[in-house]
Amino acid sequence: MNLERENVTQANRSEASGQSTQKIVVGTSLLKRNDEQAHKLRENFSQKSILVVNLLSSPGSGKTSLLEKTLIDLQKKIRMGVVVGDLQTDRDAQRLQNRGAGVVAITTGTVCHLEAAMVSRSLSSLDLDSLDLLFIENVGNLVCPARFDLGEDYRIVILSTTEGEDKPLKYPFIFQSANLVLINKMDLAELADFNMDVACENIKMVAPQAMIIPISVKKGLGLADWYQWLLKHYETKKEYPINKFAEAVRH
Amino acid sequence: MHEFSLMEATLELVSELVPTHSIDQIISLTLRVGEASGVVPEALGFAFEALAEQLPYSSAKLKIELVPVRCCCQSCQFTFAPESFIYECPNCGNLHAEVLQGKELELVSIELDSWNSLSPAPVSMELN
Repeated sequence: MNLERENVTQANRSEASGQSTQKIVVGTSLLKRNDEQAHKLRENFSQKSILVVNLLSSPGSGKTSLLEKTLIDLQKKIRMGVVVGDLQTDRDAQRLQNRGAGVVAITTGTVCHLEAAMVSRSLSSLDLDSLDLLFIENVGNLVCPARFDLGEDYRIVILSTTEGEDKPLKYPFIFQSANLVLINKMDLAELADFNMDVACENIKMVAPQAMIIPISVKKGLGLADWYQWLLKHYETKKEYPINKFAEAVRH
Repeated sequence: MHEFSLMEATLELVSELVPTHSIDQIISLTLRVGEASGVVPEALGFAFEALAEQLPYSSAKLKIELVPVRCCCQSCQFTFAPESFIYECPNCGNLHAEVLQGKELELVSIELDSWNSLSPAPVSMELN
């Protein structure tokens, strides 16, 4: 850590109680280390013009199924890689194998979110020079990953219809950080009594900046829109590799 | 419990800032935590107790200053304190707001029980 000494040693003597105390004034973000690491990752990704997308959702909302389908459907158009985070097992990574993309698993042990340093370490197993798009599948969790920048360009939060339309109100921070919200399992909406209008209204209230795309990975609904979103941002990334905005909103 | 990771980062920061010979003189750490930081202060306290148990300053106190959220409406520039996590402007009803404060997660200061404890050697004033 590279803290400037002047910044740190502003002595503040207080001897009122007969005991002298000193205060070291710090003023440093608790996320400093992660943010620095994320900055390095972002620079590296920009140099190689790789579009990086951080996928967040609660467990079981369909992150891995979405990626399975996406890797197959887009493999002729762009070169993709995936970093998959899970507390235990590499089952998700195995599901994503042999689909034309490089896949690396991060087993976090007990840590409930991915951190930039974990992503950084995992990248040695991927050939970044042969990638156009990197997906980071975060640990299934709507709370903990919110504040950890991973050097991504965009954040995508997946909400599935079986979770109910009030999730955005219950977990505002993660939705507030989203660029895009995918509403998955639309084929189950009716069975789950999911009210699409209310869900969209809730998302718009906490995350007015987020675009919304309803999909069903199982039935293939809305996937064309999702692919169009990805390909459009991939084209933009090729043209403008440096995404300063992404860092400004996350730090 | 991402608060655990954050507390680990905090204690690492502390160990970099306080000389080894003074580390047992830490009386308190002060953090600034925004109400929209996505962090639960109680969970930070719990993580601190669990992690500090092994440290020379295990009796040190964790002080947390809570920072309320303040927003600036991106449409009419009205500044306001939102009532919930829906940042609706009370002036014009717009939902797009810039968060001016309330996302803080900072180590503000470290308090040591001797003003001399940052000197290069562990020598007290009297001995000098």
